[in-house]
Amino acid sequence: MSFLQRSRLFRSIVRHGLPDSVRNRALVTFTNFFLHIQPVKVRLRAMQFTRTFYLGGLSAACFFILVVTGVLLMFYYHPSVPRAYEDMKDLEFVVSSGVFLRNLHRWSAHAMVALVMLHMVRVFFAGAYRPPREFNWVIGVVLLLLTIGLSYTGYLLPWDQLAYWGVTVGTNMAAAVPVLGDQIRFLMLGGHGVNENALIRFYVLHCVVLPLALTVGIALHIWRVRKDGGLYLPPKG
Amino acid sequence: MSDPEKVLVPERTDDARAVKVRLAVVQDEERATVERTDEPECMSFPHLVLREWIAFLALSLGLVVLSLLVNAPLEEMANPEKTPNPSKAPWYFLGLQELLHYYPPLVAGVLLPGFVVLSLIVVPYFDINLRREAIWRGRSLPGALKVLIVTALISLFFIFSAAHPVWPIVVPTIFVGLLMALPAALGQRPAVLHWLATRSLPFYIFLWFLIVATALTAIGTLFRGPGWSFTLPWRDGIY
Amino acid sequence: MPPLALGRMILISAVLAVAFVAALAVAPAQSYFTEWRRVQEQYNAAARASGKSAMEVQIQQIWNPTLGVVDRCTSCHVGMGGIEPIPGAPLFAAHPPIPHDPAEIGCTLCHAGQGRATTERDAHGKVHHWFDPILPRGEEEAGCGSCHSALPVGAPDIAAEGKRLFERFDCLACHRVEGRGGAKVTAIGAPDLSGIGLAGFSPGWHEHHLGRHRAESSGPFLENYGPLDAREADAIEAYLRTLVAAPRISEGKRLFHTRGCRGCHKIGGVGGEDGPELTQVGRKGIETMLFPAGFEGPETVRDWHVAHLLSPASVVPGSTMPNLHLARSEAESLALYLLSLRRSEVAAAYWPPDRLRVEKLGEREFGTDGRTLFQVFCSACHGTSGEGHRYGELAQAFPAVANPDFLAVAPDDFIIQTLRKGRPGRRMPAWGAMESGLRPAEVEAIVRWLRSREPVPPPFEEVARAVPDANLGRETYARECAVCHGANGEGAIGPSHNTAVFAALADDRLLYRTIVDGRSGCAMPRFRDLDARTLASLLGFIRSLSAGDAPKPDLTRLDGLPAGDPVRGAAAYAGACFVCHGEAGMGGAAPAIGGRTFLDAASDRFLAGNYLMGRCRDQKGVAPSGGAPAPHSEDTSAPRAGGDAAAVADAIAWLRSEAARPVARRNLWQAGGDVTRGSSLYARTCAGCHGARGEGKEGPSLNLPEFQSAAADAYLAATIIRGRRGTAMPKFSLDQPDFPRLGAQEVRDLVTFLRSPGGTGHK
Repeated sequence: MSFLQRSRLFRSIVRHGLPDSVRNRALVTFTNFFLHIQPVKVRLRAMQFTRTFYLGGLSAACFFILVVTGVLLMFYYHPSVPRAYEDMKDLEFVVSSGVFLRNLHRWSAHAMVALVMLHMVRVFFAGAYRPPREFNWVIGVVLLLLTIGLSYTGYLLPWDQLAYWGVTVGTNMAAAVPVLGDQIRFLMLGGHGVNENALIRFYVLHCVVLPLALTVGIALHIWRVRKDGGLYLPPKG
Repeated sequence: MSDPEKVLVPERTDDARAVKVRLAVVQDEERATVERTDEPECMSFPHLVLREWIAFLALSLGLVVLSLLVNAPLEEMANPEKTPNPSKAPWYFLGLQELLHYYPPLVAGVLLPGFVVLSLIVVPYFDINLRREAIWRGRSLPGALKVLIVTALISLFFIFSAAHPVWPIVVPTIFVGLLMALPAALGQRPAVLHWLATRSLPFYIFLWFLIVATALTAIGTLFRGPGWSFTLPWRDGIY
Repeated sequence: MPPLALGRMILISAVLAVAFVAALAVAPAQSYFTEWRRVQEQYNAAARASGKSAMEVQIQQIWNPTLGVVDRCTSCHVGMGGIEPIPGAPLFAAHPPIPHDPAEIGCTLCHAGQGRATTERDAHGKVHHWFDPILPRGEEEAGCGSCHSALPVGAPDIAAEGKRLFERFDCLACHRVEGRGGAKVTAIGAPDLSGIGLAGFSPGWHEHHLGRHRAESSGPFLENYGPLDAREADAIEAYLRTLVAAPRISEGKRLFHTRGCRGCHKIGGVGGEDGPELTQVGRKGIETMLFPAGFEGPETVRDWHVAHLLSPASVVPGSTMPNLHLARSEAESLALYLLSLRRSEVAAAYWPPDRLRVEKLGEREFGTDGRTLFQVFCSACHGTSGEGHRYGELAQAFPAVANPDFLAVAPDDFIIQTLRKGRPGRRMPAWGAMESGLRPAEVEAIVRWLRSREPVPPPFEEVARAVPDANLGRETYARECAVCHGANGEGAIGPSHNTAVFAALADDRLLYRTIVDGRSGCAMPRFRDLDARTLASLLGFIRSLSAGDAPKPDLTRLDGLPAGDPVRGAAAYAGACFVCHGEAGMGGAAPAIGGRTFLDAASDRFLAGNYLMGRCRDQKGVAPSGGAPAPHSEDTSAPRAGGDAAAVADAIAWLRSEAARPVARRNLWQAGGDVTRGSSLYARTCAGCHGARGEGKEGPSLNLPEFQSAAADAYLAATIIRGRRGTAMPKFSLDQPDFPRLGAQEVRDLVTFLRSPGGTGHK
């Protein structure tokens, strides 16, 4: 072990010793890119499960699972009619674990929407939206909208009846906006109805635009949690 | 932590393999949001990281097992000429779709959700009892009356403003109104009433919103069938 | 630092990690242990046992991008897609022989089901949200309809005759058809004809056979073949064209096209619009069908169709489809045809000739002779032979369009107009106006066939030979002719024929032709049901009417009648004739003289003589007004003032040239009666059946614009006078128990009222 640690390669990657001292454990946290978003020390109260139920973290975890399964699914998917639907059938019948991938992606997506909503509820009831965290709350609302947007754009991609009519119903609601309703709907669908144009539009939004926006948003959200003094804890007593 | 007498001098060496470390020092009172705390703390690594890892694994395990057992829905290929009855949006929009049953699309699909999003965004900026003071300090019959009158007015509005009474809004309104009025009318004993009395007004508003949204979504998801008629999921299944 | 149970946390995370990895590993295992893998391993075991080489275990598929086919059925049905079949094993056997190569066109195009699926349940389509499950055993033939959307059905009657001849002439001795016959097939290699209708055959088949028949000294060509006449050969060809290797569908399709189903149902854009379109009815899934309580038999798509055909309203409440009283076997046959109506969008490169002919070239899949067209479009309502129909469940009775009385009074033009424009308000659609309806030539073919249903009158020669009977002539004249021509032939609605001039000009042949063919452009109907003796008696009686007339006229004037010039004739006609005889001689105040049948029978001499020497005894108040030239004088002795033989000849030539033009002429004869008298007469006599405003009650409505524009005064007058046997419409020229007898003037009044703006004519 110590030989390994002394090796040049290891030291080029990990620049601290075994995390057996407070110093090294602190170094683990802030020299590691993935861990540096966390503080070196946390208050015990903040670590209680019932304080946060880890809802924010689990939302992010869902996003991670979705990105991984989503990228794998992209290998098998053509955003065109009727290929899109046929690809669903191929995933089900000939791609190894294809149906599992699709299931995991679908259920994680539902879980993420629910978790983000629950996260918001938790934050509100904890009073954590109040100054100085008010802008982070706004970011959180935007993240909720982005999550719903991701889920909704993904809903169309299988191109089955559920997708088609779900999106038709939703975009018809948008058409009710006064004056600009039809234009908004046209912008959303790239046409006057749900068709192949809408499919490619939703595909690009689902796979590129919204995930990028969400990634940036999450980074901003977590960064601000740190900058605003970490997890909100009610004053003692 | 910081001793002005001792200056931290970086370790100097020519060995490229040596790890150079710079520790930052946070000075007190530099940022308003950082407060000195005497609370018990622990190192994030390994305690917090481990817990997060466990949470992640538990979630993933749950989702994987679910995915192995339950297949994601896939119906026949999209067919613009064949409208399923009912045509439903994804579950998180079914609350809005349920509202469409009561209000014209402009109200249910644009104004109401727009209003909700807007109020969620501005809520921390409006000084609505940001201190979260308790709604009641003692018994207050006029207060209870006021709350009940407001509740009645809101209920009446939702009974008569729509094509048919919006029960998914009216019932939660009355429920929350009663919760608010009870401690004012009966005092703060037992402890439940005390708890209710010490909640703030935003708590009740948000609670109301939450129950309404949940009720609308649940009804839209579970209790609506062909032609948006009322169905019972245990009798007719979920559409 | 307080204890945070680090060890326990590590343990929990380790356990979770192991569980997570284990769960994750289930996914690939799930997709490895599949049904098709097991089946292919079974194949390999069976192959090794029978000394064949094993296959590589992998998903097999038939991929045809042109057809859009991805069929993985061969992953289990191994023997049908290129892997060596193992006979006897149901899953591994080869496909039974068919004209197509399954390895090229795949499976689902014919058999339906879900080709992309790799499990039995999914592939056979017996899953939620797959609405096109595999065709059940016994209904596989229905799959043909996917591409063969327009199998030829030909002219069913002729084909049936062909089939009879085919069997009577012992063609089955050598040829195999649908599993029958062909005992000598091996001897001379006669082809199986079961699918000859699709494969096509040489037009010289008969000559070829006949040549062999003459050349051979022994063998089947000599023993079993012989000469055919052209009609027999045509019938056999018609039969051969209907042989499409799908006998049960052909039978159902034949039934469909003889029971008039297309009159209400459209298939491939051809047919009526009263019932649902059936182009893809074979794809109708069981989930769209409601089985009534107490449904007999298994609840399958086929049984639903059978039950629905046998009794529409008991399966679909409120259905307006009439009960055709089919036999169960007929309903089953029709149901299979309906199941075969499952037209898919296949690439044009794969279109079979039948589909190309119908959908690209616009040919008909059924025969276009009048008889067949009538069966295809009309027979459900008007009966297979035009005898009419009354369905118990429908309030309306459908007219007997082949009724001889109807055909006797209805000119072609009237039938054509009715076919084209329909009868709105009744179920008769406008076949000429619909995209999916009848083409002009087809409408005419139907009219020709209807005409062929009329009785054939005895030929003139037979009439000429027959011995007249004065009493019979008088009776017949009084019954059929007197109402229009007057009791003594003095003329009323019809012209007089009791003058010496007429008797001298008109020969028996003209009279005969006019009686049996009627006179288009007039109220004169066709009397085709009179026998030779009656006709001869009638002619004799008509001749006798002029016996007492003035001395024989001098006809020498007519001897040198010049050949007319039609160009000059137009002006001559306009000047002298138009005002009474109307446009192109199609009638007005006076009878029509421009009809083709009349002009064919009437000689120039007759026409010119009538003009130059006078005709009518009494103008009965139809004299034209406003300075028009007086009608031909009744003075038979002197030539007409201003009568110019050359001008008359020109006018006649022009009339003949007009009649030869292929344009539909309206019957312009005007009844010229009195509206007020007609109105009260209508209220007393007609309103009971036809409604106070002609809106129709038990009798048909008379006030629809389509009817009014199709039916001329003459048709109305002739129908009133003649009545319609087999219906409630009485013969008003005779005394009836419940109806008054109407004279010529009353008929004129009635018709005038019917056509008047205040009467039923314009509502």
